[in-house]
Amino acid sequence: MGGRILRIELLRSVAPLAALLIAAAGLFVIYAGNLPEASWMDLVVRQRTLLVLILPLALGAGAWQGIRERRSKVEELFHTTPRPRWRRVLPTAGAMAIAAVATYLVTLAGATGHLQHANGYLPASAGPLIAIGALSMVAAVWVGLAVGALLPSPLTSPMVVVAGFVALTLVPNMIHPTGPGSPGSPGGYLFFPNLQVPDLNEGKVDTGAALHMLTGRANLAQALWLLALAVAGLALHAAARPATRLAALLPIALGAVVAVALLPANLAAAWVDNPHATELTCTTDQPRICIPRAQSHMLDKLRDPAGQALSILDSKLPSAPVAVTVQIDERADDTRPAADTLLLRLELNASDAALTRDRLLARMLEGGGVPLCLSLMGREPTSETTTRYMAARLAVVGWLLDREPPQRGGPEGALAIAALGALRALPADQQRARVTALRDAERGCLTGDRLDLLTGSGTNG
Amino acid sequence: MVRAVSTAETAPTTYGWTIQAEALRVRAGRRMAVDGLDLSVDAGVHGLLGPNGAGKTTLMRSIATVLRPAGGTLTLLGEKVSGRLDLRGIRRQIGYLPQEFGFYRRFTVREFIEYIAWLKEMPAAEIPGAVQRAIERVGLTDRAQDRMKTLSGGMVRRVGIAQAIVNDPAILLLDEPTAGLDPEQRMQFRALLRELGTDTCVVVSTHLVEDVAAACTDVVLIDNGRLVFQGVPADLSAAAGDEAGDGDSAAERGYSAILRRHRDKQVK
Amino acid sequence: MRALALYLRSRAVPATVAVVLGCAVALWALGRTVDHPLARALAAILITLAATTAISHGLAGPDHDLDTTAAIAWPPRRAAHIIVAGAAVLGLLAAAALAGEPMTSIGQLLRNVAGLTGLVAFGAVVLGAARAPLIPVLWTLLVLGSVPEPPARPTYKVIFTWMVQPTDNRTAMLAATAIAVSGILGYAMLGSRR
Repeated sequence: MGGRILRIELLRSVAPLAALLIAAAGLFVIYAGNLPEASWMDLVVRQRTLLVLILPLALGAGAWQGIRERRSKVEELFHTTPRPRWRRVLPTAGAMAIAAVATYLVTLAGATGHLQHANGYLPASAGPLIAIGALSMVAAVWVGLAVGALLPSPLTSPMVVVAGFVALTLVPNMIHPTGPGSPGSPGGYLFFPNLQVPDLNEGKVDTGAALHMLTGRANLAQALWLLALAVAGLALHAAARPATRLAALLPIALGAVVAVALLPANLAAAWVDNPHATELTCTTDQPRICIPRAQSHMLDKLRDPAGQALSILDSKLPSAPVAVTVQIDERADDTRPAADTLLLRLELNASDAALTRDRLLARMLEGGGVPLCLSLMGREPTSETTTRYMAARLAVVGWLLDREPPQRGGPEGALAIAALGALRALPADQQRARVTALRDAERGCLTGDRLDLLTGSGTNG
Repeated sequence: MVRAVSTAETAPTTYGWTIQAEALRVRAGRRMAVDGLDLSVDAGVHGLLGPNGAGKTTLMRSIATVLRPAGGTLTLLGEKVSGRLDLRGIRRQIGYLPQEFGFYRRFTVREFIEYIAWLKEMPAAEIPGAVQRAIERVGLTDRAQDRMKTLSGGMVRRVGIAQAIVNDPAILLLDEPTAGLDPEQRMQFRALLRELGTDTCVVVSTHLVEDVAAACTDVVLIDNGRLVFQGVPADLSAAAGDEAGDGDSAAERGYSAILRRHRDKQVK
Repeated sequence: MRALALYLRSRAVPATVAVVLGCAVALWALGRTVDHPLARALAAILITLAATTAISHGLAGPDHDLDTTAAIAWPPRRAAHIIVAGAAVLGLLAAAALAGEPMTSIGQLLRNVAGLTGLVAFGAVVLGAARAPLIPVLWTLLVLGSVPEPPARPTYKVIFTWMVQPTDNRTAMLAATAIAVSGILGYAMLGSRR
C-alpha cells in the first residue's frame, strides 16, 4: 500500500510540476550560455555550477510541499489517525526525492544538446559528480520540507528560494576574498555543492574541466555532508516533538565534522589531474594511432590523414615513422618522439574546422612529421627567428605534398613559398638530404636556423 | 462485501460503554469548554445538540483524541484516554469528520479516501474494497475519479463522511455533517446514519434538531460544557409538554423547553 | 480606522511587515559589510526581490467567495492596496539604503520595486496570491543565473534583464514601468485567482 500512496504522491504532490519547472529553468540557463560545453566533464561540472539556480528552486518546492498539511487544513483530521507522523511523511518525501533526482538527470540529459561532442570522452570521475549533484537536490527538497512544516506560512517558500540563492552566491563571496574560483581558496568551499573548477592552468591555456577530477576524498566529504543534510532535513520533517527535532539536527553537526576532517586545505589539492583522461589509447589496426582518451572522439577524423601522412613520409624520407601519437597541445612539452613515431599536437577541444583532412595532413607533415621545438621559438611569436623557423617547417609540407606550402596568414607564408622554390631548384637527392637533415635537427631540437638548413647555399649543402 | 476480519474485531467486547465520560473537563484555548460532563453512550446514533459555545465541538474533538482531557476521565472502547496512553489502537477504530474538513485539492476523490484509509492503518488488501464501499455509500460513485477541487460544497461534505466511515469505525464522530447538503442528500444521509447505527457508536453534532429527531436513536443535549439531557427523540418531543415554546416542531419546542428549564434551575 | 485595521489583519499584514522589515535591516547591514561590487549589486536585487514578493501574502483574503460577494467596489481598493504596499516596501528599503552605505541607487530601487510589484500582481491574477511569488522569483533567478554581466544590447536581452541594468538604462526603466502598470491594472480589475 505504501507503493500505491507513493504513486499518488508522485502524481498529486508538487513533485511533478516542480520537476518540470526546475528542469526547464536549468535548461534555459544552460542553453542561454553562448558557447556549447566542450566536453562531457565540462558539462557535468557546468551542471554542478547550475545548482546555484536549481537548488534554491528545489528548496522552495520542498517548502511548498511541506506546507501542504497546513494549507489544506487537514492537520486536525490527520492528527486523529493512528499512523505516526514519520510514516505519513515518508511517501511524500520519497516522491519529492524521486522528482529531485529525476530533475537533475533530465536536466543533464537535456543539456547534452549543448555539448560539442556527445561521443566524447566521459570519464568515470563524472559519475560521483553527477551522483553528488543529484544527492544535493534530494537534500534541498528534504530540508525544504522540514522548513515548510516548521514555518507553515505562504511566504516561506519564496523566502527560502531567495535565502538559498543568497547562501550559494553571496555567502561564498563573503567567506574568503579570493572566492571559490581560485585554487588557493580554502577547501571549505566544497561545502557548497555548486562546484566551480578553480583556474588550475595558471600560465597555461585553460582546458576547462576535461582533464581534471575531484579527489575521492573531496567527493566523499561532499557526499557525507550532503547526506547528513538530507537525513537531518527528513528527520526534522518527520519529527513530531520538539525534542526529536533537536535530535534531528545532530547529523548536520556530525556531517560537518567528518567533512572538515576529510576536506583538503585548498581547492588546488581537491582538483587533481585525471591521469586516465590523458592516458594514450592506441588503435590495433593500421594506421596505428595513439591518442589521449580526452581526445578519442577525434580518432575517426585522424585515420585517413594519418595513413596518408605515414605513407608519404615512408616514400619520401628515410627512417620514416610508422605510427601516429597525438599529444594534447595545451599540455605539450619538448619531449622528442621516438624515430618511429609521428607526434601530432592537437588542441584539446580542436574545432571541426581544424580537423579537416587537408589541415590535419599538413599539420602531421610539418617539419617532416616532428612537432615544433618549443625551446626554439622566439620570445615573441612574430619575431624573425620564429617566422623563419615556421617558414622552413611549412616549406617541408609543400615539398612532401608536391604543392604550395599551406598558408596560415602570417608573414612566414611568403617566406615558405620562396624557400620551397629554392629547395626545388636543387637536384632531387639534394632535396631529400636537406629535408632529412631538417627533420633530424627537429628530432633533436638542435639549435641553428632551419631555413638555412633547408635552402642555405654553402655551409650545410 | 467479503473482507478479512482481524482478531481484534472478533474478540468479544470486554468494556461496558463505547464512550464513557466521567466529570470530564476539556480545555479549548483558555476556556474550559467541557466542564464536568458525564456521558455514557453505546452503539446507536447519538445526536449531540446544544447552543453555540455549549462545548459540542470541544467534546467531539476530545473523543476524536485531538484534545487531551484536562480533568475527569474519558474512556473509549474500554481504554482510559490519559497522558501516556498509546492511542494508535483506539485511533484505528475512530472515524472523524471535523467541523472544518480540509482536503488535498489535487487528489481525486478515490485517492483522498484511499489516503485516509492508509492513514488509518487499514490492511493494504482491504483498502480498495473499503474505499469503493465508502464512495458508494455516500453516492459519489460517478465522481470518484474527479479531482477534489472540482467538487461542490455538498459533495466535499460527502467525501468527508466517506473518509470517516471508510475504516468501519467503532466510534464515528460527525461534526455538522449535513451542512451544505441539499434536502435529498440529507434524506439519504439520515438513512445511512440509521444503517450505521446498528453496530457503530455514531455521535452527530448538529444544530438541526429535525435531523436528530429523524435519524437518531438517542439525543444528547449539552449546555455550558455539561450534560443537560439524554434520552430518545420521543422524550425530547415530549419534553415540551403543553408549554408554548419556541420552534416549529415538537422536537424543536422540546429542545428550547429543556434548555430554558435547565437555565432557570442554574439561576436559582 | 477600525475597519482598516481589521482589513489589514485579514490580509496577513503583520507577517508581511516582519519580512519587509527584516529585508530592510539586511539591506542596511549588508551594505556595511559586503565589499565586492558584484556581491553588493547581487545582495541589493535579492533583498528587493524578497521584500517585494512578501506583499503577495496579502493579495487575497482568507475567503475568496466572501470577498467576491461583499458589497464593496473592489477594483479601486485592490489598486490602492497593491500601490500602498509597494510604496511601503520602497520607502522602508530606501530608508535602509540611505541610512547606511547604499548598495543600490534610489532610481534602481524604485524601478525594481515597481517592476517586481507588477510581477507579483500579475502572478496573483494568473496563479493566485499564494503562488504569485513564483513569477518574480523565477524571472530574477533566471536572469541572475544566466547573465554574468548585464548585456547592453540587443534590446530583447536588455528587457529580459531589466532588473540588473544600470539606473540610467531607459529601456530597462520602460520595461519595468510597463510591467508595473499592466500588473497592477490587471490585479485591480481581475483580483487574485482563487
